[in-house]
Amino acid sequence: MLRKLLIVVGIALLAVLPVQAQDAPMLVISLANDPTSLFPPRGADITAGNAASPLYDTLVTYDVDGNIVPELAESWEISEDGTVYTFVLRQGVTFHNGETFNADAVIATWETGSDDSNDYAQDYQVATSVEAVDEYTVQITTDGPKPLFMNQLTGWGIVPPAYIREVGIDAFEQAPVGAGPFRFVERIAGDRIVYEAFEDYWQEGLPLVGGVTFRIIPEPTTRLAAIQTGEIDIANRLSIDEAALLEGSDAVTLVSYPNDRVYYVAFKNIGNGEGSPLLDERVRQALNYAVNRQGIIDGIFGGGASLVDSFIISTNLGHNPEIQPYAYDPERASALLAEAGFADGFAISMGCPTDAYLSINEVCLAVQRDLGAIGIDLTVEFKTSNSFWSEAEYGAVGPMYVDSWSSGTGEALGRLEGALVPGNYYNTWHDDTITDLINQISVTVDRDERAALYSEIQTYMHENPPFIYLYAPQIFEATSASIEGYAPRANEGYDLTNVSKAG
Amino acid sequence: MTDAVLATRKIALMEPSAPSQTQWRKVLRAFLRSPSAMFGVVVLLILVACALFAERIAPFAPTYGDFAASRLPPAWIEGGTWTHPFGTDRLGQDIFTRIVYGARVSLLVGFFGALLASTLGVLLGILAGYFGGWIDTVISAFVNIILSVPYLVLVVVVATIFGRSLLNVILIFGVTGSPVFVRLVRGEVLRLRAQEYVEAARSLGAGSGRIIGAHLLPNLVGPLITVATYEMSAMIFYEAGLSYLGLSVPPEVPSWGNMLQAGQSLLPVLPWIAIFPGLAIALTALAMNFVGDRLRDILDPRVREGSG
Amino acid sequence: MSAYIFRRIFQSLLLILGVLVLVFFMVRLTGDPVALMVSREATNEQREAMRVALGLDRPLIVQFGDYMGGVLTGNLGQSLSLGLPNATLIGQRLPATFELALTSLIVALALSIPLGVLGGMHPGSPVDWLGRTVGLAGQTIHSVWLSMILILIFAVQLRWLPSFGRDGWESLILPTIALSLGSIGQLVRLARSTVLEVRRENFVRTAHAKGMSGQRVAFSHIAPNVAIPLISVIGIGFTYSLGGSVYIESVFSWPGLGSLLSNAIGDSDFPLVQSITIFIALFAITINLVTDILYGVFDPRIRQR
Repeated sequence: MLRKLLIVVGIALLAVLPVQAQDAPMLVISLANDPTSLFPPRGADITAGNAASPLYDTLVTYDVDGNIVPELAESWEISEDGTVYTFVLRQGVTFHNGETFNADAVIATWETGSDDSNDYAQDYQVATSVEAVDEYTVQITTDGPKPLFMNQLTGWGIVPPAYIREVGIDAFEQAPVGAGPFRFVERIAGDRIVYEAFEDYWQEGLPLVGGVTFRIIPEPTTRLAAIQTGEIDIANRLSIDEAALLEGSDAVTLVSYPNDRVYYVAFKNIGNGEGSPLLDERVRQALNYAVNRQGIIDGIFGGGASLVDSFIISTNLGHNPEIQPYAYDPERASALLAEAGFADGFAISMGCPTDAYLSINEVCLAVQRDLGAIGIDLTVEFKTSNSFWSEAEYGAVGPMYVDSWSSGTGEALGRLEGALVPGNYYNTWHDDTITDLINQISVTVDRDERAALYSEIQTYMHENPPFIYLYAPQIFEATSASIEGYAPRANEGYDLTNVSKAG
Repeated sequence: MTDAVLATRKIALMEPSAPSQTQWRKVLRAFLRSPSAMFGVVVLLILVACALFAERIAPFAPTYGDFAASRLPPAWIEGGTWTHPFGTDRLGQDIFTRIVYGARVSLLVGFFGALLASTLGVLLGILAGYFGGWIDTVISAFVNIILSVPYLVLVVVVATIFGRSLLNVILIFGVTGSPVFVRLVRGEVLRLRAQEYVEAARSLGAGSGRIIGAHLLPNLVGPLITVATYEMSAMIFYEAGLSYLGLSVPPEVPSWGNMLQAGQSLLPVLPWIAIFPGLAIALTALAMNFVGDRLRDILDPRVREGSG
Repeated sequence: MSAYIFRRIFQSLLLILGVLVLVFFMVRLTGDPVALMVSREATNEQREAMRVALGLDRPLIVQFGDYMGGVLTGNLGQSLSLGLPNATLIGQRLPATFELALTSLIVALALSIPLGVLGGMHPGSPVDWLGRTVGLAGQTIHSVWLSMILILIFAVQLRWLPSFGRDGWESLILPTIALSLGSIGQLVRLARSTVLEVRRENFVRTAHAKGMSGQRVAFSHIAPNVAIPLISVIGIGFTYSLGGSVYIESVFSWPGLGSLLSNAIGDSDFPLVQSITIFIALFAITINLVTDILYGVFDPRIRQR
C-alpha cells in the first residue's frame, strides 16, 4: 500500500524534477560542506579550494611529489635579491569564454585578487607590482625576499582579464571563468556544483572525463553510503573507521595520505594567560607528558593519525628526526608540576571549537580527562568556531584552547607565522627566540639555510613548548573502482585533469 | 509536533473534570488494570531510580574512560566483556554508565521543562483569562506568535542564539512549551467565569484569588498532568534533536542526545554507541505515552479510549 | 463571511509583524557575524570596517527600520557564508522543501486519516490497534535515527533506493518515509479523537436511538462532521513537516530550506538564519490562514467566534 502510493506520488512528481543528461561519464565527488566561493581569493576553506581548482590553471603548480613545475608559465627567472620574478608565458591558451591568455591576464588576476574585499587578499598583496614586459612575458616584484612566493603562486587561479574587469568580482563569483580543464555550468547552493570538460583546453586530449559534479553531503554516514552504492565516485574526509568498513570492497579503492596539519592545545602568555601557571616551562612540559596522545590516536582515530613532536611535521622541510614526541608519562608530569610548585595541581579552562574539526569534541574530552589525572581541574569551554575565532588572540576563551593549523607549502612557515609571531590576529604566545627564528626563516631564500633554521626552531619549541602537541591526521578517501589516475596531495588539494572513469 | 498535540488537546480538553478523592482512587485502580500503563510506570520508576541513584547503579564514573578499553562491543558480541555490558565508545567510556547518567539529564530536561512550561502557562493563562483586556491581548499575541513558527524551527533558532547549557535547554523548552498551557488555562478560566456559580461566589464577596484557588485549579489538575506528561516526552525527544544539531547541553555531559549525536556518524562502524541511547529515548517516549494515554482516558472521560 | 475572512487576514498580518519583531531582536542578542566574513588573518581594523559595511555599528532602531524596509521590499539581505542574496537562496531551495513537505503530507494524510477514522469508529478493533501502533512509533522513534536506519537498509544493504540528494522520484521515497512518520503519529491520534468526539455528540446518539443502522449513522451524520475539523489537520501536518525538514533534509542532503537552515546555524550565518525563520513562519501562517478560511467556509459555526 505504502510503496504503491509512493510510486504513484513519485511518478506524478517526476515531471517537475530536474533530469540530468548523462552522455560522457561524469565524475561525481562529495563535498562535506558548501564551498564559500569559487573565486580563489575568496575561497577561504579547503573545500572551496578543492571545488574551485578544476576551473583554473595557475602559472606554476605542484607535481605529485610536491615539486614546483610549470603550468601556464613555461619558464621563469628570479633576480639575485629574490624580489623580481620574470615569467615566460605559454602561448595558445584560451579561457572558457574564448579570451586569450597573456600577460594582461596575470595582471588582472593580481589586481582582482588583491582587492581588500577578498579573504585571501594578502596572498596577492605580497606582490607589489605585476607588469607586462611584452605580451607573453610578465614581471612580478615582491616586497623583499619571499622564499615561499612560488608556493603562493600555485594558488593564483588565472582569470580572463576582460571578463572580470567588466563584471566585477561579485558577479564573477557567481559565474567563474578560468583556463582550467573544466568549465563552470551551474551551482545550486547547498546541493551541487556542475562543471563540464573544456573542449579547447590547452593540454590536448585532457581532461579524460565529460565533466565533474560536486555533491554536498554533510552527513558522514550518508557520504559513506553514497560511495558504497556508487552514487559518488570520490568520497573525501572519511574517518579511519569508515575507511575500514570499505576495505575489501571490490567497488571501492581506498586512498590514504598524511595531512600537513598539526593539531595542538595552545597556551596564552598574553591576555588572560598572564600570570597563569602556564608561564613556567616545567608546567608546559608536564602538560605535554600528561596527555595520552597515542591513546587519542588509537581510541578516537583508530590509528589514523600520527604523533607530532613539534610544529614541524616529519615531511616538512628541515624536520629533525632525532627529536622524539613527548612520551605519555603521568608520573613525570606530576613530578614536574611539583617541581614548579603546583603539587596540588590548579584549575584552568580550555576552549574547544566544537564544530570545526573531525572528532574534536572527543579529543577535548580526552585532554580534560588526562589533565584531571595529574590534578589539573580543566574546564572545557565548548564554543562554535565562530564565537571562538571572533575575538583577537582568542580573547573569549581561557588560557588554553584547542586548534589546528595546516600548511600547503611543504614547509611549516605559514603556521609558525600565523600562530607565533606577535601582532598576528590569532597569536597568543610571545617568545622572542621563536619570533626571531621565524623572522629569519621568512627572509632566507636559500633552502638549506632555511632547513637548518627549521631544525633549530623545532628543537627550541620541543624544549619550550608553547603548545601541547597532539597529532597530525591521516586523510582517508575512497574512489569507486571505475576511477583511475586520482592522486591527492598532502596539501589538501587535488587535480582532476588526468582522472578517467570507465563506463 | 506540538502544534498537532495542541490540536489534539483542544479537542480532548474542552471540558476537563475535577477528580475528587474517590476519583483518584479510581485512577489508581484503572492504572493497575492497564498492562501498558503499568509497563510505562515501571519504566519511568526505573528511570527515576537511575536519575536519583546513578552513582550507586552505574559501575563507573560518567567521564571515566580508558583508551585501552575503547571501541569494545556489547558483552554478548564477540570481543565484548561483561565489565562493559553495553560496550564502550572511542574514549573508552562505559556506555551502560552513561545511559544511567543520561537518564538524569533527560528527566531533568523533561521534568523541569514541563514544570516551567506549565507554571508559566498557568500564570499567564489565569492573567489572560481572568483580567482580559490588554493583558489578554498581549499574552494571546505572545502565544500566537510562538505557535505560528513551526515548533522545531523555533527551538532550534532560540537554542542557536542562547548557546548550550542544561539551564538554557530547560528555559527554552519551558518558554516555548508554555503556549499549550496558556491556551488550556485561559480557555478554562473563560469558561468558569461565564458559569453561574462563579458569579454567585463573586456576588458573595469572594476575591479573585479565592475563586481561582477554589474552582479553577482543582478543575485543571487532571488535564494539566496529562498534557505535562506528553510534554515531558516531547521535550526528551527534542533534546535529542537539538543535540543532533549541536545545540543542546555541552558534549561532556552524558545525555542521551549527546550520545546519539556522537554515535550517529559511527552507526555503520561502531553501531552500539548510537543504538543504546536511541533505544533509551524510544523506551522513555513509549513509557510516557502509555502513561499519558491512560491518564487522559481516566481524567478526561469525554475521550475515553476503547470505550464505545 | 467576508468579514470573517478579513478578520483572519488582519490577524495573520499582525502575527507576521510579531514574528518579524521577535526574530529581529532574538538574532541580535548575541553572536558576531563579522567573524565569519573575514579571514583568520584579518586585523581588528579590517573587522571594524566590515562591521561598518554591514551596518552593525548603527543604533538598533535604525537597523530595525532597515530590516523592516528590506522585508517589505523582498530584500532579505545577503548570506554571510554563501555570499548570495538570502532571497535567491530561499528561492532556490523552496521547491525542494515544498516537494518533500507536500509528499510527506500526502502520505501522512493518506495513511493517518483512514487509520484514525476507522480506529475512532471501531475502538479496540485490529485497525484501531494498527493505527495506534503506527501513531506510537511516530512518537517514539526519532526521525534522525530512523533516517540513518533507512539509509543503511534500503540504500546500502538492499541497493533499492538512493541514499541522498534529489535526483528523480526514487530519491524522494526515504526522506518522505522519515518525515511523514512523525506527523502520521500525530495525525492518527487527531483523526481518531475527532471521530470519538463526534460520535458522542447528541445528534449521533439521537440517530442511534432513533434506530438508524450504524452504517447510516456513520455516513450521514458522522462523516460530514468529521471531515470539517480534519481540514485543520492539513495545516497542522504541513507546519509539522516544515519543522521536521530541518533534521531530515540534513541527513539526506536534500537541497531544501531545512538543510539550508541547519548549515546556516552551523556557520553562524545569522542573516540567513533570520531570513529562513521568517520565511518558514510566513509560510506556516499562510497555510494556516488558508485552512482556517476553508474551515470557516465549510463550518458556519466557526465564523461566529
